[in-house]
Amino acid sequence: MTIWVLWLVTVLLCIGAVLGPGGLRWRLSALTLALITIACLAPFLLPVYRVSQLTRMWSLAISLLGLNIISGYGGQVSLGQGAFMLMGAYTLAILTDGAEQLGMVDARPWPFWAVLPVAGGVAGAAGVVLGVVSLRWRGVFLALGTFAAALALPHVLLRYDNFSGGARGIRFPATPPPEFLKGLISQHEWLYFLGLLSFLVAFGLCWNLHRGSWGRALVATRESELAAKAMGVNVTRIRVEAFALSAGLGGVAGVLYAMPLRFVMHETIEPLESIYLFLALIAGGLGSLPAAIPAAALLIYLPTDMVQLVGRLPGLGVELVARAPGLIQGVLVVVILLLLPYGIIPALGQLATWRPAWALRSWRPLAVQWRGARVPLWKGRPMAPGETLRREATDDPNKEV
Amino acid sequence: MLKAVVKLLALLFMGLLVVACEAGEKAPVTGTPAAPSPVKLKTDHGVTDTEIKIGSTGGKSGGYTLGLPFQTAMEAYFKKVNQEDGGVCNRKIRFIGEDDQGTAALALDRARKLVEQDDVLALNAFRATAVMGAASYLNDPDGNRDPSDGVPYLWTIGGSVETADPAKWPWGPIQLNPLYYDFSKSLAEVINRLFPGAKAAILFQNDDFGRDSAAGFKAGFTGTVVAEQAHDPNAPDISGQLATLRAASPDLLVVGSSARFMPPLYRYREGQGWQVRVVWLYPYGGSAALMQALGGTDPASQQQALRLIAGTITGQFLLDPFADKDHPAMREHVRILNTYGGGFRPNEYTLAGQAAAELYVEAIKRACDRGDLTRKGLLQAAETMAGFHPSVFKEGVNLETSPSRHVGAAKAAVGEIQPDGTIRPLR
Repeated sequence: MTIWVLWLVTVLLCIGAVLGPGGLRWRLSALTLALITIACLAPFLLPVYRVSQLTRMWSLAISLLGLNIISGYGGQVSLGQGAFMLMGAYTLAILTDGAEQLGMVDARPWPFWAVLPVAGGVAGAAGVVLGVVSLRWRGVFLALGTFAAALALPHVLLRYDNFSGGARGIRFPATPPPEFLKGLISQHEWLYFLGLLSFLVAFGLCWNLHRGSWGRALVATRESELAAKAMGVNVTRIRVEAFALSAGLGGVAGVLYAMPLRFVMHETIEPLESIYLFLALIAGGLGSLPAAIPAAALLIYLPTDMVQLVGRLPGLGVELVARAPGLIQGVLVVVILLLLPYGIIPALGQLATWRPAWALRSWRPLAVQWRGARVPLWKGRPMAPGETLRREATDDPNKEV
Repeated sequence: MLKAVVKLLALLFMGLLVVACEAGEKAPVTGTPAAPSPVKLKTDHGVTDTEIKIGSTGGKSGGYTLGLPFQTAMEAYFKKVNQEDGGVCNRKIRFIGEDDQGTAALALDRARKLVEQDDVLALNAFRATAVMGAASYLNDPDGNRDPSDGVPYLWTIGGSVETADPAKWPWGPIQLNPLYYDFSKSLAEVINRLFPGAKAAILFQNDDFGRDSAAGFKAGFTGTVVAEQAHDPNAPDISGQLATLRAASPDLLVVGSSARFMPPLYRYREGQGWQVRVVWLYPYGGSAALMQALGGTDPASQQQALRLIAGTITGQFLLDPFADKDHPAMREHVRILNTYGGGFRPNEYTLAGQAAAELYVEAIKRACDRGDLTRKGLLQAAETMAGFHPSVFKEGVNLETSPSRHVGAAKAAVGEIQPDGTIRPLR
């Protein structure tokens, strides 16, 4: 129950930051400080199971940051992020299990701090390959091409079982906290803070990149490749770099995802996880870096707690939950997309000018929604709190202006 | 400003609603509460004066739902023990079945929930990849590399031959079914006696089950393996592999694939007029599993299915819901399902569920008699169960679990399916 109180406080703080008094910069700074404080206190307030869920959430959030780079800012639909996570997870397992899959290279277990950049590098290199291969692909072809990579990887791992352990997977030892932290925090608290710290570092990196010239160039390629080229942007290079960064973050996320498991197999991250990551990012808010957090939370809670909560609503009953949790998950995602077509974080930015009547009108067919939208769903840019869309001046999101 | 306050209050109300839903009721324990045990037991997790918590994860929804009959039967048997036998160790058993949608990742999450939130005494899982997904965690939940604290992972469905080594996996998984490798090897030894010098072609699915089955068969087979073909566990079509195997002109078609691949195999064999005897390396196989896979409950469909499967050689460690329908244990199984399992139709996985539940009850009894119903105590009790015969096991098939070898049923009864669906024992 404490977990829901913490989430409620978090949501109220976010709303307070949007609606509250004072300058935008001050409110955002206060919100960031408050959220980091809550995040740091959480493992000491929550039971172990909830902490392990949050640990997994931070790793997924890092992966979603990477996906946001390529899909949110780069405008490329990538459905292969799960494969990069799996590569990171296997890199961790191979380098720390003590067996010799790579001869002398992994004869002795590597420390975790060395594995993190290596895993990021391995996945990033794979991202470069995929980026180069996919240069000629656009839209649905790129989506299918990247998803093919996610589909193929488990079969490759099964085929080369001397290297990957095949269907039996690879078991590796736990990553204990460093000496100076031993006795101060437990194993699960250590993994939680490692995930949180990694997320904050990755967030800072992405924040800096997307606000710099590189980020502007990437957004320019999303809006119009021709115009970007005319402005002197090397579209080929920036797309490959975006793929590499996105995949590298996926690899790091895979390491953090697998650390608490102490075991990895071809099904640890299934191909469908790549699609779930993309869907969650849309629900969180494509093109918005903080969207990684609500998107990761959706991935964690949607198949488990949310489905059970819905099952407890009067009239539905546990039978529906037992037989068709996927249906409930799907309905919940559709409801989120209908009510918040730009995603959760952009909707927070719009909250100051939101009208309840819009929510009712938004139950129109999706086609109408999209036709009325000013920006295509996958090209939405991040909105600052308080910023409004042009259509809001009419008080009707679906009315042409 | 007023609107902002209204929005905040609405959100607060929604949040409180969610919190209230979360604090909902726990699943009730069936039956009247038992009197507390007069002897103070040594306990640690999942045991109170009135109840014992046992968990299970399995696919009940999504693309892999065979965990549903398994968990339904487990729960039904525990309800029967609570209602009719007054519980076990003077306590009621509370069963918590979790849906992992057949995925390894969710299986681990659900196992963590059972251990860290529900604090179960022990648990099991259904499907090899899901079993392996949680095995490392259950052998070392704290991640402190201390082998003395773990969670008993008992009577799982599936798992690899490596997991039978207690030195590597001290807390399990202990499989319910025979190890696929051992099962296939013992079946091959029967084949050697029946068809000396035969030529065999092997078809197997490319996962733990298929590979172990093929390797076990080859280890025990003294004839000639003329061809081998693997297929993906989710392959939509296996006719290409069958054509390759047919070209090698084998006497026996040895199959290490799950039930869903058997209908296309039989139809291919019939369509091509291929005279080859099928040997099925599936410990849950038998007339009922094949007839269910081939579909149809009307007499005409059943007759057609029986015609296709007649002559198949298979091994089973559980009773066959079709061939053994008049067996007293089978009738009791049907009664339990009708009374406590919502009338669930019996199949090989409901039988497995009941067998797992019977083994849990027996292990708890033994641990209780020793005065130690801790997790360690339950594991040690389970390791003494060699020779125990669950009612739904085939005659002559017993449990072989010991401290040095973590296996369930060590062998299977080999038989040949007859045109009427009965199974003629082969030795």
